[in-house]
Amino acid sequence: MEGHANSTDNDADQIQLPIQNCVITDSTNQHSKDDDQNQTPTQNHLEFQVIAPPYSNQGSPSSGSSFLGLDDTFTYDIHNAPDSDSLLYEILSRLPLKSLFRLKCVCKHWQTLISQRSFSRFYISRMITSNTASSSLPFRILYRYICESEPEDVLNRFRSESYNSSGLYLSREEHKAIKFKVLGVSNGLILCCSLGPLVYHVCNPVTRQWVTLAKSAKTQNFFAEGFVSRVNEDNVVTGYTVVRQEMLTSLTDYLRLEIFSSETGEWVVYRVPCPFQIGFPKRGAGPICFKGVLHWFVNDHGMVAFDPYKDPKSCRLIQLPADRDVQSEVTHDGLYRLCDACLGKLRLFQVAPDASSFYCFSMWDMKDYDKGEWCSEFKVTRSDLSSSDPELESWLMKATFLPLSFHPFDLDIVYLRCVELACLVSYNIQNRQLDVACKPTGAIDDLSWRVVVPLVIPTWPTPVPIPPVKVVIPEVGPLRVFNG
Amino acid sequence: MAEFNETDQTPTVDPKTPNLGDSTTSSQPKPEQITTIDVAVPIPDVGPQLQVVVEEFILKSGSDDEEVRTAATNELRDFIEHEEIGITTLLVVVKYAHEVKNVDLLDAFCERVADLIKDKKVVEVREIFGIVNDFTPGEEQALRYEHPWAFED
Repeated sequence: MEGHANSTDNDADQIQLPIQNCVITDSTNQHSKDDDQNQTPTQNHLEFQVIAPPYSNQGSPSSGSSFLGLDDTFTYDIHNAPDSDSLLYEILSRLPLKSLFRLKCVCKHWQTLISQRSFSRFYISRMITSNTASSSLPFRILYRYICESEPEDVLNRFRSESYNSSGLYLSREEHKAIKFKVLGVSNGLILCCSLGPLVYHVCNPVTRQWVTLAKSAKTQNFFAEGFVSRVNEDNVVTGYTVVRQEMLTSLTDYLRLEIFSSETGEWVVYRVPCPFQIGFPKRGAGPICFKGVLHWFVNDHGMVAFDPYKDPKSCRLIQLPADRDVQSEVTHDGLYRLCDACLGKLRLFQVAPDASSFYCFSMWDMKDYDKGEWCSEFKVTRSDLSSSDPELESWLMKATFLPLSFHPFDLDIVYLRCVELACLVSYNIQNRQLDVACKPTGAIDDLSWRVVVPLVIPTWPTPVPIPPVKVVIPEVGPLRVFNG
Repeated sequence: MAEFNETDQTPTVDPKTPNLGDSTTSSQPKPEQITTIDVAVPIPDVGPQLQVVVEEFILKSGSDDEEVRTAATNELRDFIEHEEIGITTLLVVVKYAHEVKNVDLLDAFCERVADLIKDKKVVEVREIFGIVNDFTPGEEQALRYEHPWAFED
């Protein structure tokens, strides 16, 4: 497996500078289709305490001009009216997070209301199930490599304000040295690392909290980090683990892992036996996280699954579907195979690299995770495809497509890169239509599923658990007195 | 403020549409008739123009046709935005929508209120809602330190 600095997908040996600041955003109006969805509570189901405000009726508030000219004569007191908290819920839950938390300062009543658990639940569920055009859940397909050198600037990249524009875009910066890499996203927290020397950080893009993890004693080659976090019933993160693998170049029948836990603040090495001998692909990528279990791709067999929270530590091999194109997987080192968790499903999307292959796109969903059984969802040929874009339409029979990412909220959309047209396309599973999602300027030669990660800004800010720090008292030498 | 009869929700009354009084036909009332309809829960005095708009919207929001409802919602949102209705008036309709349990009306007006206050300073919001600041300076400062990210520009 290769380490971080060389994790480009360029088949040539020279190191090509990856695109700086590739960012694709799309805030189409999508809902999460998770079955475990919270229902939007209506006013009838609200549970809250009406706290009598300490003030009495004020005069008519000035609120700017009203074309009806009634503000001068009409006294409205939202707080003394019955059901006033219910109305505040309705209004405040439509504010962006930043405004909402700022307005906690209005008065103690508002502070208490906004801090209530019932309010945060109401806010989150309204965000998720609301179907008004203005409150679509924004997301970004983030290019993992970031060339900023300060945590502040890295956090600025994740700013939710810039997500709210609709449409996809892909931007590029001047060639600069890569300083940070995004390794994983879990429950609203981002694991990233700074390169040279390797230091890990966990950050919250909304609250801008930045926690640097203690360094491991191991300096040799542990990579392919996975990030798993646990939440309580309020969706607040209670703890997280980072799991990384030792770079093993030959076949092995055990995993050598190093695990960091936010609860202990320490790295611990584990040696986990494998049921079969496994070998890792040449260009390693991080694991995918499905139901809190990390899955790394292994040659021939498929994936090795490891649950960092399960004791005793063990791993399991999960085969990928037998009727997939194994040959192209080996030849192209898995470049044309996208496998990821998508709205509670484990899904595999494969593209045939050769335009002359009978089937172009194939997709499988994991039907029984415990048995490791897949179900083929579809296989489409190139003649099945269509596009509303004339140029893309003319290329459909011969273009090369590389899968990038699934849409975080829409089970029907897959994002791919069209190599010849140097653009990003979205594939709609239902109508088999390909559409141009964005046309970037500049080269995007190395854009593949390995170098992007879907980033969803959480609907409620969660604090980053800070791992305990082991205090090491160094040996004190003879006291030195400094002059001046 | 007009007194609302809180127990007026009889089982035969669809809370979304106002009682059309003596009308027994199923046709939509003509615009000129609206001002004479006796509504079960009367719309508070927000001025004639807004009253008409709200009443029309309530009628359309009870329609079975989703296109009619969507079009009505879009029209209402456009109207709210273009007419620059004051927050006090908006809040009156919010309260009314809440009482008659018209979700779409509530949604449209709450969105607008939220939109108007989201960039306002804390002191401005207090003024709008007629709220007296009951924090000590120390308490308010502590709150700012608790969520510094909310106060950044």
